Amino acid sequence: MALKPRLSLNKLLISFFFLICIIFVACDGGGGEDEENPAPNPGTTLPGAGAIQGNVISSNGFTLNAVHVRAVSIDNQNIQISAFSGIGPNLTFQDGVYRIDGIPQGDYLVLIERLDGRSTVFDKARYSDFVESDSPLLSFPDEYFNGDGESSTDNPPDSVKVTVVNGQTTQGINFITND
Amino acid sequence: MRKIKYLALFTFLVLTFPVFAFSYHILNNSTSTFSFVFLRWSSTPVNLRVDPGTLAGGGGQEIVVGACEVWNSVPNAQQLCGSLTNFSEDITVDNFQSMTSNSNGSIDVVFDETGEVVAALGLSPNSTLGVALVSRNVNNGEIRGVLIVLNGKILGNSNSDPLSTTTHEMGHSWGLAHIPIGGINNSNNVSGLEPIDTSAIPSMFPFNIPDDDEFGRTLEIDDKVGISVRYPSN
Amino acid sequence: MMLSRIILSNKILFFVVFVLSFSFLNCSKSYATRELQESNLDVAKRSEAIVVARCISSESRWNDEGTLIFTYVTFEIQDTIKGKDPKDKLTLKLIGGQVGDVIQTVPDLPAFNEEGEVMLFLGPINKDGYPTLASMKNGALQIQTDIKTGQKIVTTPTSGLEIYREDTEREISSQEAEGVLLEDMIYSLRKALNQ
Repeated sequence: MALKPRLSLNKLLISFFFLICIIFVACDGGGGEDEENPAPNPGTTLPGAGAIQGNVISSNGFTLNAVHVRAVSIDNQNIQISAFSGIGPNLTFQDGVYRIDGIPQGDYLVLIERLDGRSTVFDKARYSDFVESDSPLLSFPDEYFNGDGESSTDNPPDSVKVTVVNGQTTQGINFITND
Repeated sequence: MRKIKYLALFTFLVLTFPVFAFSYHILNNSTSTFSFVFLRWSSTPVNLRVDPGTLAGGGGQEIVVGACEVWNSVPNAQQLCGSLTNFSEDITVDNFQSMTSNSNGSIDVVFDETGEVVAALGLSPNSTLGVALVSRNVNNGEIRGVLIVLNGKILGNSNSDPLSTTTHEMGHSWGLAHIPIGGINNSNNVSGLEPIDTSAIPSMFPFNIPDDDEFGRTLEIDDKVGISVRYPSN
Repeated sequence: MMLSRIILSNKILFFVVFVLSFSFLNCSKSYATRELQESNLDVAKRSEAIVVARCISSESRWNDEGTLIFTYVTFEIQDTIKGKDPKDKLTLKLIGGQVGDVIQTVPDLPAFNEEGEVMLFLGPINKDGYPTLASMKNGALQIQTDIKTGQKIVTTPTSGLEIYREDTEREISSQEAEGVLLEDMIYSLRKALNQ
């Protein structure tokens, strides 16, 4: 007999939660899009450029977000475009995934760097909302993408070039941090 | 039943709690890693209302026009700046709160010749070159209005360029966040991979470029990509 | 088990408090500015006051004109490193915040978490009588307590400030420093400002 009121209350609470969830999803409309001014479709590259996409994981397999990923042209070091991991195609959250768009065709070095700890750049306080402020995982050394040699024990300065082709997304540029 | 309840709670939190983070970096509303709502105007171009006063002792309107031309010239991106009109009177610390609006669908630009407006915002008048306050709907990230305050007290000296700062703050008006490229730079005595020439540091870098701040007047590729990703012309 | 009984017996109240706690607990916000490149030492010298303080409240509300949102962040002062008039509390009035479904921000202002401790570098008092933050980037250094040792640590990295150990007076860093003990940071600042 004592169980019946609890179960009713439980059901009511759960129903209420799901109702709120439905309302929010219906009202939110999926994240900032509108018919007049839509953002690009997932995976679409900008005209006259390519993209690089991959993910960042730690040595013990955790996906890492807010890692700064930079593509640097091999022919011209001043051509640099960057993005953060955690933001995937169409600017939606994708755990550990990064995408760098608008990259002119050519060969690039791709690197990752943590920004916290760089006092002249940014620090944890500023990124505390995006980054777990006490995360012990963001302590990796800067490193280049090393292709098949990519691992948690690879030599950070080792690198392989990443080729970008107009209209295409170069996938699988995945990093494993050396924690 | 308990597991279902916790699942419901978790789902509720996932769908309703946003956090701040950055991209190209694009401002967003998120307060957790579970959801992002990126900031953007629902329609472009966006009109501007400009302080009729001076900036750092010179013409401010010309500087705003120059910054608009820069952002309107990005390939593969929509025209962002619309028409410019002047406020009916000089904007000062005494009237900026009544004259400007942060949610009326326009970008309001204030030339703060004394630094008092910047101070009224709680920020340092001795180091803050410019501020962009972006107002938007917390649920969908739609930008409703922007207030830009340019600090004429220090702009034009202290190795800072008014047009570079205006270009930077205008970038925030479109929803761009700061870019760290340039912070990893040998000239800052900070070790890092692939340093970039100061002339190539993106306009959305958060600090003035002491070597020559006029470099910030032109957009670099990362700035352009950020805009064309967010406001594609096709 | 006890907790689940409490929850079961106070479901609705728990739900309301749980949701509301997320609304009011978070003092953090962010801003977008461009500012001069300065070292922490530069900022310390330029500051009119430097204090160690704990955030005790944060409230956002519209101004009288209904055009801008300001957030009032109140701190309890625990130590004064620089400044003429030591006080028990101070309140910053900072542009931006959220009221209802409207949020106004300028990305990159320091984040203030309720109960969080910070070292504040303060600039001149503005016309409304509130102190300003001396710097966006270096205006607030976060302080956290090491769970294992109980020591307070300044977790925000610093630059351009010579850091000395208070107990030995030996210099431990002259360029970049991270994870400095609060007592050493305070000692180093006082040493630098007295030179």
